[in-house]
Amino acid sequence: MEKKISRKQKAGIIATVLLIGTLVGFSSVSLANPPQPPEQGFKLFRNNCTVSLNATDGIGGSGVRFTSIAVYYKLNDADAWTTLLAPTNYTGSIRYAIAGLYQVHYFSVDRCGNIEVEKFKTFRIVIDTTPPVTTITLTGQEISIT
Amino acid sequence: MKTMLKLGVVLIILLFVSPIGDSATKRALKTSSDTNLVVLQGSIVVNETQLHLVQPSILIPFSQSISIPVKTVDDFFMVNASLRINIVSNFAYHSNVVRYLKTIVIITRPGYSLFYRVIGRLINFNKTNVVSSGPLFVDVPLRYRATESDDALRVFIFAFGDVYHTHEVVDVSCHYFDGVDHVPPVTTCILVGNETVPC
Repeated sequence: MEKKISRKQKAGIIATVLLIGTLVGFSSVSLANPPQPPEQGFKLFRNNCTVSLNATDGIGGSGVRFTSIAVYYKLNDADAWTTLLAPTNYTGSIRYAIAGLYQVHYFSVDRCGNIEVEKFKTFRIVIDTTPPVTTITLTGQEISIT
Repeated sequence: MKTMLKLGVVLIILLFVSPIGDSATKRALKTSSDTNLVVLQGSIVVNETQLHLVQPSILIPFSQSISIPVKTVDDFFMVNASLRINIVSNFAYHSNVVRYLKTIVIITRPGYSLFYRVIGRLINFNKTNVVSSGPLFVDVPLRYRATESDDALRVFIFAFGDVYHTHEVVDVSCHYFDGVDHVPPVTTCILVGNETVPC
């Protein structure tokens, strides 16, 4: 025997589906901007660099719902950008230790749905494998021993 | 005759039971123009409202009320009252000591009575023996979930206090924030490592 669903139950199901859909969609707002040309004066780091994001919603804010991050990478300036970290929710600091140019894209969304304009930061990691050269200088009156 | 009587009864009911929103709004507007009310991205700022306390040991209440329109109904609506009480003395030879200061914030919404219904909590801020000559910052966040029946909230702020010495002047300025979040968050990227310069 087929069980009929009441109008109230239907409305409930639709509302639940819509709510879940909204929540799922809302928590996956994706970074939209492709990698950009490096900004002037980006920083250089020797051997490694740790990237951390800190989001605040100010006084009276509803609080940060999530922070989205994406990282792009290229070894040399002439190369094309490759996606090192696809757009994802930021969960903690990330350490990079491979030589090359990195670009971090990020933004945050608060609980009221206000979306921060996407920002990016570029940095380069250089691996210094050449040991330093030390020279010694001896000064004084040199004499010869016979 | 019956119709006239009915009309009279209706008029009396309207007179005594109707909401006082209109008159309250007018009062709020008057207050606004008097105190340079500025609305900036969801914040309402009242500048340089002066309270002169010239007699010690007497409670002189200062009250200010604002009307906040409620446009959204969601879980995150809140009223965030942030007061900056600036205490300035015109008498350099007297030390400024506020013996105590008490702040009460009441949130109300228009009701169908002669009085606004109090829906917020009372927030007490007590400071004793505050050596002043500078601003006091008081943050009193009031979280309130707006309902569909809310068309406007009114925030009443009362400050009570006195000064230790006579003949001193206390200025009070209050900043109110309606707390509705219109501003996106700000994310900063921190890079930590052994920073170097180009070789």
